Amino acid sequence: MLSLVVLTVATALVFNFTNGFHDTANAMATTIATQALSPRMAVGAAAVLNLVGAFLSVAVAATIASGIVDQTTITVPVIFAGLVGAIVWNVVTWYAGIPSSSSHALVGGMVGSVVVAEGTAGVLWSGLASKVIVPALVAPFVCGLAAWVATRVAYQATRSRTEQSVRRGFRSSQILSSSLVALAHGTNDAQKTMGVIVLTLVAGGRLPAGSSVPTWVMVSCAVAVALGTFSGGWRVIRTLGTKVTTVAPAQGFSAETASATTILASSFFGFSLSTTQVVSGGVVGTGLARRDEIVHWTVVRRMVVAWLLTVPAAGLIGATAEGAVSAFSSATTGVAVVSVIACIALAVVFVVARRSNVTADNVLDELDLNPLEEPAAPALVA
Amino acid sequence: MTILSVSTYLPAGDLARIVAATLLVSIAAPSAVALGIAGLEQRDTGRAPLGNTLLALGGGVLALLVATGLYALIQR
Repeated sequence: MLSLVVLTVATALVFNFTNGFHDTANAMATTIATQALSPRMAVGAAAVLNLVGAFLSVAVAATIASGIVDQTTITVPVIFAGLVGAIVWNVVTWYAGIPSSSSHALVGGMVGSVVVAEGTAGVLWSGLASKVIVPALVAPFVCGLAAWVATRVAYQATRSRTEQSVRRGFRSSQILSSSLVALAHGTNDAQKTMGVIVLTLVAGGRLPAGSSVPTWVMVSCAVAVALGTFSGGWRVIRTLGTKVTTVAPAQGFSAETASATTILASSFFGFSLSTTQVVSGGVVGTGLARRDEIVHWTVVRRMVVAWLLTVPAAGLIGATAEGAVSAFSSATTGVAVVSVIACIALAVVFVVARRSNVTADNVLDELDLNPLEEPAAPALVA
Repeated sequence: MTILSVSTYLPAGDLARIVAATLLVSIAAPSAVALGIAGLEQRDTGRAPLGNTLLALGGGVLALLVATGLYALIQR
């Protein structure tokens, strides 16, 4: 049982790493796109802030699975299979450069593995609606509206100022707004994995039920999410920073401020949102606020399709992993075999990805417009 | 019907408060930056006292917003 718990905890940390590199874009995509910070500096700052955020509060270290699956009957192999579903979906969407939700991937993976292990009765469907479906429907619109308003206010309030001052002011302020998003991300997402690890330790008999998060779990999760963030999910950064719309510093500040506020206000009122969906909504909202701006709806449609697919796709992978694990008479052997297969599959994706490598050096290559140039007379939607 | 279903999981009152908070910040934050930008321009044109006052005002509003955000992050 110990080796099973160790493998599952390691898998949870791998998930947290993928969560970090997949979601770097949430805080830093627009900051990089407007060159408020250099790409390496931006991901470095995001990594440090994610690390700090992970220690800020343990109040929400309750697992993301809480209220979605019946935790009293869940077993370590089921948790492992759910994590495999989430990791594989995260890596596939990273390869496609799609900003999908890591939290929803985790929920989907868990739901899929639980359905195979315990049937549909093991899933709390009302929890799925309240934690995933409703926030996913509401969050992008709330943030999009806020970003739209912020962008209009930003341009109206500075219309008599010089281009250079406007650029300088909003670019400096972007560092503040993106830092707040990174901090909120660290608090939210590192703690979700802390919850999964605690659940694993309880299910594996290594911790009594109701235990608080051990220090080593906090530290390892904080380090995993920070390392993942630092490795930079350049593909997703490229999509969110350059492909949805062209982002000027005032827009980047507006999108990030709207994102940070939506995440923090929702958290304060007890709702856990997907940072990815919030930020994506903010980027679209800020693009719509300028008449001369183009929002690439084909990219937005791809993102929305990925959001719709995340829970079922991660669930399908989680269910397959659980089916494979349970095919072996020994759970430890099953988990080890599935680990090896998953590692090979992920290695293949990474090798294929290297053929069209996106790095800090070429992440901005596809920008249509020199982001150093603020439009001379920003045109707002009438 | 859809609204009724959604409100079962996300109370309309809470949603209204979240939207109100985000809209308030969406107006206050860029306005604060605009004040700072105006302050910088005033300083550049030799009116340092007015420029510094505007910069301080803008910076103060931003600091207040960040402090509120951190409070929300820690207190939830």
